[in-house]
Amino acid sequence: MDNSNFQPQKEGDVIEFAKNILLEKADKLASMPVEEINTLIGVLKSTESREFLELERRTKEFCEKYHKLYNLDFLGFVKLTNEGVICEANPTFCNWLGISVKDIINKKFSTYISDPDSQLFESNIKPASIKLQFGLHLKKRDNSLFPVSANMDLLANGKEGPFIILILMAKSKFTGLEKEAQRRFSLKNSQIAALIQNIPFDFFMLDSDGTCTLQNDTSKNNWGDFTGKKLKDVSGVSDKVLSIWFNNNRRAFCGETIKEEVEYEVKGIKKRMLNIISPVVNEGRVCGILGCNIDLTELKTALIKLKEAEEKFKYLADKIPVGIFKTKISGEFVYANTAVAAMFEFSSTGDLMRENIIKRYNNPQDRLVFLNEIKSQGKVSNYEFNMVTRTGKAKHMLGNIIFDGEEISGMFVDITEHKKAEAVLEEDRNSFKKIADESALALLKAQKDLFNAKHLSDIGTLAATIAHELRNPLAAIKLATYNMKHSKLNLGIDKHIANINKKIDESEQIINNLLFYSRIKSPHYQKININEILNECIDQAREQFEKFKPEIHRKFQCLENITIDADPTQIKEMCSNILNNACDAISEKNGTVEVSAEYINGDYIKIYFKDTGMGIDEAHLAKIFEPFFTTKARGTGLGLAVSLHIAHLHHGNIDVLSRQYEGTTLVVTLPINRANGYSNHEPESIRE
Amino acid sequence: MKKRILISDDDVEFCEEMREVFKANGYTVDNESDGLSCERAVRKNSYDIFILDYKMPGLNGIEISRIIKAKDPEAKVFIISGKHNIKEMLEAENALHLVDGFLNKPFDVDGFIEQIKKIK
Repeated sequence: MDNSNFQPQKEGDVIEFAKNILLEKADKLASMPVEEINTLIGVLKSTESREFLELERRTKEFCEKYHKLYNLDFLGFVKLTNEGVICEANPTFCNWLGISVKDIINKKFSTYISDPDSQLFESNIKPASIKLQFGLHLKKRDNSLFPVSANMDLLANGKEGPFIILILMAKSKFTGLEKEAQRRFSLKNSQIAALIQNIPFDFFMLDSDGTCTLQNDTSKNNWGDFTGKKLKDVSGVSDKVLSIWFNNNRRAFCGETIKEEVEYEVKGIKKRMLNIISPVVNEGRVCGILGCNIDLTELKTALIKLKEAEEKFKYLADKIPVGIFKTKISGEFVYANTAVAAMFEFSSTGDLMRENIIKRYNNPQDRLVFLNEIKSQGKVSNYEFNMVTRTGKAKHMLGNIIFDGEEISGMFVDITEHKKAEAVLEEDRNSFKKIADESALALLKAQKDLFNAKHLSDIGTLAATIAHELRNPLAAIKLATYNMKHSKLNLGIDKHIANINKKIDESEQIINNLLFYSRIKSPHYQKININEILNECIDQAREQFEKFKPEIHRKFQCLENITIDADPTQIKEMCSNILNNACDAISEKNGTVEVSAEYINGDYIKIYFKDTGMGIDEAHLAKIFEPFFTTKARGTGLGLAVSLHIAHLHHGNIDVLSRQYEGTTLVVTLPINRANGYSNHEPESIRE
Repeated sequence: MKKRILISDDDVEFCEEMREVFKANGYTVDNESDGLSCERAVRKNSYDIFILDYKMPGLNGIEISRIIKAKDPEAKVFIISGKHNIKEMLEAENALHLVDGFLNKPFDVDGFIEQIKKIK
């Protein structure tokens, strides 16, 4: 037999090849007696049809293959009845056993195999299992054992009823290959084992009878070591868990793959796990199951958190008063939250997003400016937009926006109210500033008053003033006495005495002035006729200025029947001080003085002392009421200070109107009744 | 020839008594009682000696001094004042060089007469 051109590379190739031939034979020919086949061939041959030619070709081809295979020295072919009785065997099989073909026929196959194998074999053919692969040891005539690999098929279609085909292969033929295969398998196995050990979920493998053949460390850690045990022998796992496993394993052994989320209690901790059980199918048979439990607890928690975060974001995005949006560069909306819609007075984001954002610009030109900015910068921060709502209301928006090259996204807030508030605030700020300025001024004035009052009460200042003012009359007196002493025949002595007396009067006046000022107290109120007092003052002034006899006009008839509540001494002092100043002012240019009055609302009187003198220098105007301020060659600088003090004590005031080279008017305002305070303010100096 | 003195002070009585003093000592004396009339007299007449009050209505003593010295650097000018710090006031106005003497009121009459008499 020539079989040199058939070089099987591995066991599977041969088996597959042989099986195909046998199956074909079984299907088409095997059940036919040779004569019938010949008859068939003859019939087909006579027709010379294409089908016949094809059949003949294939039959020839098949027969060649079959014979080739049938006679291979490492393959044994045996045909058994379903009772295990040999009905056909090839010469190779007979050679292995050292028994002739005719001796083997009708013998039980199990008698030619080792005892343990024969039991297994018997049990396997009883339920008429199909397609089994297993190892066998043939028992030779000399009782030595010959190892073979067996491939068993059940053929059900044939006139002779179901029978079994056994293809046996001498193991010796493939020892080298098998070893290599085993080595590779073992390598693969250890790689797989390493992988299994290292996967972060629990993993196990049960063989066909439910014994645990493999269990990784995670599983051992979770449940204890099951290796070599059956599920029913496991301890330390709750009944609840065990019942799940039993149920799922049973289903997997039936060929089903189970993927199920289960709740386990692992070492007292509730865990959510994904239980996957998958059958291991070999040659159509379930030969074991693989299982794993993937801990979903953390994943679940993470998922829940993710969902919560998502919900929170959604809630925020919908509820916060910050507009969040995304648009294309063309202005079409891609996204907008509820706030954007609300800000622009749209009832829903859908309505808003149907319109281009350009419509929301108060001035569409702004959009171009904005686009230029964001295209060049990639983003804008605190950018102010003048927008307009659906109904045309102006809105100020403040936005932080980025541009990713395609889309514009960002957020903005409505600052319209803020802007309004800012304007109001600005207004408030201004009025507050005004109030503050006024208060500051009032405070300054108060400070000045205080300072002056302190100044006045300063005995040192008073003494210095007295000393200085008295030097002038003293100088004149000294000269007069000198002259009296040196004058011959006492000529003109009366004149000297008159001069001395004059100077003594002046001195007294100075002293009185100062004393008066330092002693001004609360007015001693009486009903007084101001008309009379003014007349008295004018008469006195004319006496005092007898040398140039000032022209004083009286125009205060309206006060004739008026009485006011005032201190007569103080009022007289005040009026005569003012009047004397007026007379002084006109002394150089022979002007006139006019005293007039006004009666206002029955509440106040105003007295005007008007002179046509030189007026008051602008630089001096602010100082004229300050104590010790004087421009006169001689004078204490107290006259007006005293006068204003008196006016204030009476809740009145003195105002000044002055025009340089034309004259000055002092206006004294006094309340008629004690209760009607007019002003506590300092005088207002008005320069016309 | 009698030396001529102009005395200017707004204290009329003071002026009268001063005139008496210097007339008795052989001087010709004119009086003015304010800055403006004093200025007129200075420009109109010529005097050897000026006795001016520091503080006068119109122009004060220093202002008059400037006019005097501009017109006649040889003229002698004396400033009198009721204020005790007349020297400081002159210094403050950079006018010390304008005057030939200053007096605080009331002053020693004999001493002043001596001072005036020394003027050649």
